[in-house]
Formats: sequence, structure tokens, C-alpha cells
Amino acid sequence: MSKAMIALSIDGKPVTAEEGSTILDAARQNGIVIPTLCYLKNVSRTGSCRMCVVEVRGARNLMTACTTAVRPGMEVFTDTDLVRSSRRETLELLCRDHRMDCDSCPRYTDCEFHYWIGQCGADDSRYGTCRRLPEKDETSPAIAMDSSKCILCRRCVQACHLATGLDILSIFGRGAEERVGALTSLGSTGCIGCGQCVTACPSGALYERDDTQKVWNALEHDRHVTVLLSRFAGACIGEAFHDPIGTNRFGRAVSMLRKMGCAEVLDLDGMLGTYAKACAEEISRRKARVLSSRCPAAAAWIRAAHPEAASLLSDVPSPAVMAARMIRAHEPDSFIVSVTPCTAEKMNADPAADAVITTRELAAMVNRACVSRYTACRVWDSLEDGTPDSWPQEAERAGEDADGSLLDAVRSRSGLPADAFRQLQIAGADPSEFMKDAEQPGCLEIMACPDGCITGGGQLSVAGTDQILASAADGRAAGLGRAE
Amino acid sequence: MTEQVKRVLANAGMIDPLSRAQYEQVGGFEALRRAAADPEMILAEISASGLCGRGGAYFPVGKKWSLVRDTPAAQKYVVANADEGEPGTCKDRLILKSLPREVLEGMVVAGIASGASEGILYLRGEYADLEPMLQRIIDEDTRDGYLGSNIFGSGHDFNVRIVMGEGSYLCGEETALLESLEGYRAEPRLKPPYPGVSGYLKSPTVINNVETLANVPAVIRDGAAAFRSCGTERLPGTKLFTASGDVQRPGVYELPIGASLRDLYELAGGINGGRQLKGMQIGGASGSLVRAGCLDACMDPEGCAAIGTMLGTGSVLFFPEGESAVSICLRSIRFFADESCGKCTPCRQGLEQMRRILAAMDQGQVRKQQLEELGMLAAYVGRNAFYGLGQMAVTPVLTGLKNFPEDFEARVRKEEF
Repeated sequence: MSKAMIALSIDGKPVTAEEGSTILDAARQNGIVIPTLCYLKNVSRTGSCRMCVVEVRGARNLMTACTTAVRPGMEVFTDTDLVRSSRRETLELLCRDHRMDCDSCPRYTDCEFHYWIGQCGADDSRYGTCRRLPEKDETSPAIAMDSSKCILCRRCVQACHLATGLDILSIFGRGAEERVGALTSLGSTGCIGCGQCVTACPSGALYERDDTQKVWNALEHDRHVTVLLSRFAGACIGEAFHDPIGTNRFGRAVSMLRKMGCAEVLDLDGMLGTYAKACAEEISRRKARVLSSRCPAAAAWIRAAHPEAASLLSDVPSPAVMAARMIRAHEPDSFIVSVTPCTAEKMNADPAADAVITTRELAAMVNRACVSRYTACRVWDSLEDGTPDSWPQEAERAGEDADGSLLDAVRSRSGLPADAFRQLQIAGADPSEFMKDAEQPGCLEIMACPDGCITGGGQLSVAGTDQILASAADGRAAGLGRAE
Repeated sequence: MTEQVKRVLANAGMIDPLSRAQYEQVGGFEALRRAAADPEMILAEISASGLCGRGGAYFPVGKKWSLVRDTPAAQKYVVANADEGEPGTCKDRLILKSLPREVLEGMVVAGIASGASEGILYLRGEYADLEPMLQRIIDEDTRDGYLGSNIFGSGHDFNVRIVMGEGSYLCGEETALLESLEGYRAEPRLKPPYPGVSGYLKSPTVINNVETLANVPAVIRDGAAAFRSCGTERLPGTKLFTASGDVQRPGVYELPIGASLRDLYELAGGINGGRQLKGMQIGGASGSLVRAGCLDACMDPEGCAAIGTMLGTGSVLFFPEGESAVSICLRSIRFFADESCGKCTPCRQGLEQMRRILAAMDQGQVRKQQLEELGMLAAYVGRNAFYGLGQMAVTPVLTGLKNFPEDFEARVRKEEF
């Protein structure tokens, strides 16, 4: 049943919105931009940053668009002098405690905070230059944090809570002493490395461990660089160069990598059949349920949060590791780089690849290779789509004999009934599911990231502005489907 | 000479707070007996009395209780808000210390009226010294059937437990208090839903201030008409006012709502050392600064509104000539910058910036631009903060700038004027 529609006006324009939706929803559906920082669709709606304040006729104070429900006849003003000056003030006060080293920041090209400072015309040194020194925590192999860049929007806290339920990131102190972070150094917490906090971060406070220097060094020393490029990375990378969500740029990324000096670029997912076969063999060997190893973050989560189910975890290495091993066997002297949508791949102590980088890191490399984002976009647009190099003979493709999903590929190779194969998100998973009927052969694929690898922790951050209507998960998945 | 009108505090200091017999001698538990015998009567009587919350918002108690009663739920709660953190306010402490059973009786009556069987006394962390005494009373009353199951054969159960506050000013805000009760960081929740619909553990919850609950037994015992015999039409009854500052007899005074500031000032004995009164800060640290000329204003919401302030928790700081509004503002803002939960940008960053400017003003002279910045920030925080703490925290600065501009201008370097 569809919900009742409410008629209201925003900036004098009559609009309708579903009952129960917020002013922000109504505005975005009608193409009216309201700046946000702490709001992140489906993740965070705390009303804490006060960027989205609007004037509502009759209201005593400014209202936050992200938390205020629409009412019939409501008159909303999103662009008055009072609203604009309030937003500027909010940004200027945030700048006071934000270390501005933009030029060397991992978010140099796509910083949401910086974007709004420019858009709203805020003076970033109104209250003097921030004198904070870097406060870096780079103890985790996957996730790094620099608190001096944190603007306390708390999106990461919500993202961590929603994705993992582990609450690794939390809020400490109060007032001007408030800090977001982990109780101890990130490396000594139970962080599973899913990276949802990183994609949630609007500034450069959270980022992945930087492995791009290794790749630059290999290129500089004329090593034979072989890249294993994930299709999920291909489905997202274009967003870094102004392509809309849902533009599959796998082929473009192949060309760009070659242009940057990589000798070979392979489609990482071109060997998933080999992986599926190994999984099917393991199921028939164990004659019991196997918890898939595909998502390293989920495997870490099982070990940390549900050790009783750890014995069910598959011994088959993750597809990225398996692919790297296969190439290593053929090309012992190659410098192997895997590009995945995943930060947790970095947690692997024995990744087989020489460097494990994320989609985001690849985008950063392209930007640096082209000197600036502007030229990167020009080069990106000028390139033809390339075809990846072919896999060694023994590599088996997946998908031709199934519906396309990896789980289907495992099933079709195992000959077991469909209901023996299921997918679960760790968020909100019922732990009893793991052990129930565990003696029945089959496979349970557990994923850490809420929408799976398509919105993995290593994918590009989707700023509040870009998620006006389409969801990144649906859009990218559609793009991925179109290319196949 | 102004006289106090003692209702809530009628027996304060007259009876041993630990003695139930003495409490019953002065009419204690009569209200509970009546309520247990005729639960329907309670809400009618409370609504007719016009009793409103004494925590500062003055919301009608009858409405609050009805909302909880009318919200279907398996479990409901009554929470006594004893997290009295407003600087310059110590009325709830006095009630809890001298007449603890008045509050507990009020809680049970609220429980019977709203259908709650669990009571929680959320006691300010700094009032830990009161906890053993309160716990002993709860234990004794539970043992003897004044609390616990089937109170006075009414079929109603009501158990009370004490939860110690976590030591933040914010715990006194009702939704932050609920967060704290549930074991989370004390930060205000988004409203709606209101606690009456979804409060402690998402159950309908009555949250009343200690003073409000202490008013309840008298309303039920003596009736609504008697309660209405003092106070104003819209806000009947008495209020506990705390007089502080440089006065001869600072303390808690019970006066009818609508009494004038002058009544309180005279009871407190006027300014020490024969100096002149310069002004008042009304309603705690987040209260307005007004000039001595407002002394004849009535202490009720309308009277306070007329002089541009709010009654709040009913505390009044009197300050003499020679005291600068700048230092009073600094004291207030320093407190709120420290107590801000850090959730929203205006309160966290804005108050800190205001504190810096005020500290510079208090130490010496500042540029004119900084004075303008102070006013601009105060207006910004007041309009943009997530909830009351931040919105109200800037009141002393806004009103100080308006009512005592000379104090601020004196801190601006002359050549710039």
C-alpha cells in the first residue's frame, strides 16, 4: 500500500512527499540541494552537525531538514540569508579544529567537507589556522585514522555499529574535548577491517593503509607489474572521474593501468570458477556446511564474535589470494597488484600479491599519475576501453553454467540442492543460523558490507550529494550487469 | 516582611526523615491510601489541580500521566528525575534530604495512575551521600508493604530502585537521562517519540522532577481546590526558589507562584555589606541577566516573559554593583562549554569559541570585532543547537549584551570606539 502524499512548499515551490518522509527527502526528490554532513542515507540520521538547517515558517528556531518530518502546508526555506549564514558559521567553527593539510590528504580530490566549505563560501581560517598536529593511528593493517581531520560527524560510529555490531569506533569525552575513535589503538581492537567507516567518512579522518607507494616503486624500477582488477572496482572507479553512478568503467580502467606502465591487467573475477570448484570440493570432502571465505572481513568477524562457528570456516583462500597464487606460479618474477573493493583484503598476512590496493587507492594513483583530478578526467575520457589479458589455461571461469552469482557457481559444481546455499549479512545476523543443521552439506556465504562487495569498504565514498535518488549499491550493480 | 508559604516543605526539619511514624503523623501516606482505594480519582484530581512540572518546563502533570496510561504496553515506568545539576539550584536535594517519603509517595501515586509498576529514582551522582538513607527507606517501606507488591491491598505493585547519575549536567535532560539509565552516553534523543510513548527501554515512561512528585501527596490528600488556593490561575501552587549570590541568607525558599522577585530578595536578606543590587540572573546558569529595576516582576511564566526571561528551575542569582556581567557570562559559558555533550557543532564548537572570547574580555580588553563576534555566536548557537542545553546556554550572553551593554563595552579597547 502506498503511503499518503503530503503537500508542502520548499522555497516557494509546491512539492509533494510521502507521509513520514523528512524535509531533506522531499527536497532531494525535487532536486533541491540541502548541504549535509552528519546525515548518510540508511546509515546516519543524528541531526548533530546542523548543516542541513532550514527555516520553517512559524517555527521558533531553525530546523534540521534531515530529522524534521514533512507536514501538510509546511513552508520551508532552504536558502535564506539566515540559513546561509548559519551553515557558514557551522563550517567555520568546524574548520577551527580540522587540520587543513588538504594537499597531502587522502581525500584531496573528493572531500565532502572541503566541497561544502567551497559551496557555502565559508572562511576556513575565520577562527585562525588550526594548529593541531597529525594524530595518526596506523596500527591496523587495513584501516588508519587521523583524528586531527575528524569533524565529529559520527557517521563512522553509526556505520561501524550497523555493519558489524562490534562498535569498534565510539565517542569519547565531551564538549571541546570530544573525540571519535577506538578505545585502544585500532590494530589492537577486534576491528575486522570491513572499511565501512572509511566510506562513511566525509573528511580525511579515516582512510585505508596506503599501499600505493609499493606500486609506484615497482613501476619506477620497471618491474613486470601484473594487475588483478576486480569487476566491482571497475563498476565504481568511473565515479572518481565524474562518471555517474552505474557507469561500468572496467575496460577504461584496464587501459589506464596499461598507460600507467602496468605490463598485464587481468580480470580478477575471470578465475572464479576455479574458486567455486575448490569450494565445491571442500563441501563434498567435509560433508558438512562450510562458511565461505570469500569475504575476509566476515571471516574475521566469525573468529572474533562467534568462535563456536570458526571450525566451519572454509580453508579455501579468498578469490583474490587464489588468483594471485595462480599468477605467481606462472610469473614468479612479476610484481602482482590486486585491486579490490575491499579493505579487509589488506588484513591478510599472506596475500600472495605484492600489493593489495582498493578502488579508492587506484583512483588516487590515477589522479597522481595525471598530476591533477582535472587532467585525470581529461585523460580518462580520451582513453578507449581496453580488454583484459587472458588467464592461464587452467583458470576456470564462473557464471557460464550458473545464474552468475558465485554461490550459484559453487552449487552447480557441487550438485547439491539450492536451499543448501545461502547468503547472510553479518549485520543483524542470527548467530544460531550458523550452527543450525550444520551437519548438512552446503555453503553459507557471509558478507560484512551491508550491500556486499559493490559497496565494499574500499570503494569510493558516496558523498551526500551523489545519493540524491539512486542508491550506490543498486546503481553500480546495474552497471556491473550491463557489462556482462 | 514577606512570608514563605510552605506546602512541599511544610514538615521539612520538623520530622525525622527516616521515621515513617512521624511522616504518617503529619498526614503522610494518606494520599497513597486514597489512591490505592480509588485509582480513577487520581488523574481527575491531578488534572483539576493544574499541577505542572517543576523541573523548568511546567508541562501539565495530568497530561503526562494520561499519555502513559493511555499508551498500551506490558511494562511502564516512573522515573524521578533527581539529577539536579543546574548551578545555583539545590531545592531537590533539600526535599530528598528532609522529606524523602514525600517523593516516594508521589512516585507510587504516579505509578498507580499511569499503570506503571516500576519506579526508578535517578539520583545525581554528586548526591551519593543521600543514597544510603534513601535505600534504607525504600527497603523498609518495601518490607512493610508501602512499596512492593499489592500496595495496601490495591492489587497494584510498585518497586523502586535507585540509579546513580553519571555525573553530567546533561543527565538532567529527560531523554539524555533515559539514555544514561539504559547504559549509554547521556545525549538527548530526537523527539518525538516523547518518553510518555517510548521512554525507558522503549516503554511508556513518566519522568517527573523531584519537586513535582513531592507536590503530589498534598494534591491527593487535600484536594485540587486546596492546591489552587495559592499560586496563579494558570500555574497554581508554590515553587521552591533558590536564592544565591552575594545575599545575606542564600538558600531555598518556598513561595506561591507569582510572588515577586523582591519577595525572594527580601527573604534572602538583601545584598551583603550594604551595597546596592545591580541585577539578577534568573533560572540558573542558563538564565537571563536582568537589571535591579526588574525586582517587582512576578515569578511566574508571564511575569518572567515580561522582563525577557524564564522561570526555569526557580533559582535566582543576585549580584551587587561592582560585579561585571562579563564575569557572570564567563562563569556560565565556561560551565556549559564543559558540560556540552559534544553532539552538535554549535554547542560543542560555538560555546568553546564564546568561552575564549569571554575569557579574553575578563582578563583585559579585546578588539571591537570580538565583541561583535560574541553577539553573533550567541545568536547562532541559540538558533542552531540540537536541543535546549545549547539553545539556552547563550541566554546570559544575549541578555547581558542587551541589559548590561556598558559592562561589555568597557572591555573594548577605547581607540576603536
